[in-house]
Amino acid sequence: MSRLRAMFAGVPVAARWSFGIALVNAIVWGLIVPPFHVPDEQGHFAYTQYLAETGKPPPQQGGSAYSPQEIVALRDLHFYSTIGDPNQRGVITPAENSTLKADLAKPLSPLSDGAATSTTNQPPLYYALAAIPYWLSPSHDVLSRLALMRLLSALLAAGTVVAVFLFLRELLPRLPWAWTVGALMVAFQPQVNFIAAGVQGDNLLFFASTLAFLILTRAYRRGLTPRRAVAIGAIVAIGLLSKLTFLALVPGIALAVALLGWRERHTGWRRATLMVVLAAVIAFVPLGLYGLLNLTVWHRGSFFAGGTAGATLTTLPNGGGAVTLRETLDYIWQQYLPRLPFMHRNFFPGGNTLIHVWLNGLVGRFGWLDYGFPGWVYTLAEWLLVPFLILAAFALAQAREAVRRVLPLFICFGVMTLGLLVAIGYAGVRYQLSTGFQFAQARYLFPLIALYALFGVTVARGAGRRWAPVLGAGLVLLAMAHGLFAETLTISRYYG
Amino acid sequence: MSADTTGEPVRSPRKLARAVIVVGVLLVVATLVLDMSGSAPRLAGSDRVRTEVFSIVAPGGSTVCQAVGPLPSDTGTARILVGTYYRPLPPLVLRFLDRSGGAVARGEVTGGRQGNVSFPLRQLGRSSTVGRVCLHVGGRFQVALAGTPLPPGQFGATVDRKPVPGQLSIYYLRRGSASWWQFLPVVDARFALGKASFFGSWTLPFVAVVVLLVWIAAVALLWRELG
Repeated sequence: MSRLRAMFAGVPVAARWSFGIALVNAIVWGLIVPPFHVPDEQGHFAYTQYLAETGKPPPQQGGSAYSPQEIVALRDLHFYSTIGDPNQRGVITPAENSTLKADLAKPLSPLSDGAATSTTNQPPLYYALAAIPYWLSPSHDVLSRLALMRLLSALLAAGTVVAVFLFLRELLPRLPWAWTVGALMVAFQPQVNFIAAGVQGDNLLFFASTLAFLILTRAYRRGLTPRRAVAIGAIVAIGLLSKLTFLALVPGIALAVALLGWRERHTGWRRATLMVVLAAVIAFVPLGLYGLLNLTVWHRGSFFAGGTAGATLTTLPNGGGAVTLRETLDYIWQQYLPRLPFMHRNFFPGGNTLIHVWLNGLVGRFGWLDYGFPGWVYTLAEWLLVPFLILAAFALAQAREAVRRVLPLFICFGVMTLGLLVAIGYAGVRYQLSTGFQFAQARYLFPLIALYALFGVTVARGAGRRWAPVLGAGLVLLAMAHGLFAETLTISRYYG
Repeated sequence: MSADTTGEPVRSPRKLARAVIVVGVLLVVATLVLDMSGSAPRLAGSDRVRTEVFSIVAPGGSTVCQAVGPLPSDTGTARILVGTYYRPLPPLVLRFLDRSGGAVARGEVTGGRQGNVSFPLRQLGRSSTVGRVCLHVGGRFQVALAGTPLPPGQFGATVDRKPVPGQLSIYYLRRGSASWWQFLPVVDARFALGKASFFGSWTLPFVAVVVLLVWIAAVALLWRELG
């Protein structure tokens, strides 16, 4: 206990302030975004409700996916007519609100059949945590429970911001301004906050991923110890049990752990190997247990409960044929880079995906991708990106000696990044060819949010040692303004 | 990257950092005030049918009808997305009817082009009694009306009393234009609805105060760490 207290005492005041700011900001977002309007929130809520009511994850075997309570809430909130059409509103009259409240006051069952949704094939860690506020809610009303469950996401977002702060402190120990700048840039990032506003399992994934960047950097700089090996294993286990997307980061993390073990060879090969094995065991035993429970106790169909089915689909439904390796590689390329002449299929007719999908997505595509800023905001972001890239390149060139020292670690981060990018593309081509809808969304990159913050402080550092904090202050204010106008935009979307 | 700071700490131009913070905050406040002062038509509601596709094709001279809920009391204009296949817009008459078929509100448009067509409404009865809407398409040529398609076998609207597998989207706009300042009481009232009522009608003011406090905290932190 005293060790834990000492650990928290070691957290800088600025990190604690960043935590508080991020927490309250995410709670504000949770009050602004109407119930269930964070992407897939109705599915995440249904998973939690099933788990909270039955003590096990949804079996995904037919019947209803949503409880009668949730079905009535979604109907009376006009949820299905509001999503996807920015000119539709939810409940906006007292009469509609009275109907909603009266219907929810009826003795409706909180139990569904646990049928499959887009979220039920994921591991249950986030949902087990979300079940705590579900149970603690003094009211059994769906909306009250949802509001309290949203606090968990806000807490995880604030934790992510602190992890970003500590990651930057570990990486740039003599640039204290950079820790605050990076943390606040994430704390006010509106797309991050939009996800943090709702009951959404991705929030635990983002937290675990950022912790992975932090602990790997810490172990790289200070050496791999048994405690750090345990921490790495535990963080990987949390990540894997939050969302199977974390599997995409595992090759990079494994490479980093191998590198860390190799750097410890002076303490003896046996000790170094034991620490690597320790991290691996702690990382994968919980996942193995989860898989066994899926097969033997919960009867969820397969080891991963179908959690990797979308990404490993080889044959398209309705006789759509097989997804070829060439199609997969073409898609992955085109998802991030301009199509090359020999790629005969154009998966993204909208053009430059780097701008249209990823940059514009980071600037803001909210709701069920149904509203965003006026066009000039995205154009401005494109123009700003050019000097930002130049400044970042300048900063890296200036700090090349220091960069060289951390290059092995960044190669591992590169493998983590590549793993995620490939996983998004691999799942994306199958989703797009199966449904006709585009898969990619900027939020899928948020497991790399620590690198987003690092990019921000690198841009500021490009202004030179003397002026970096000035530009850093400007970048944070830009992020704050970005967040504020995203909030007013969201208010006008749902209540205007 | 840490080596670039291994030497003596560099004194940053603190005054300039503070100036950036102050000017930045003032700029944001000014932009917010300017943004909220812009006047535009504001939504009063809709018939709850999403605009997904052109879901109904109505021949010239036909009448499209469908059931709708009560008309919001502050409705001044109804708006429908109409496609004319690049011909001029035919005369269109929109009528909101009560259960007995009596007209409650009426609007018409003559001339213009395809796109979002606004019908200024003349109130003839109590808007809360509306149960049906009918759109009469004049002229000789067909038009396409936006809304939501329905699965085969399900019917929404009727064209000349024949059921069709589609519904018509209608958006209701308030009378005149309003800035966000003028519209704030409506936004405030709406903001408290459809969610857990921890703060009741004080939800939006509460959010505004908390946002202000978050900004103060963030600026104070920046001031302390960078300024």
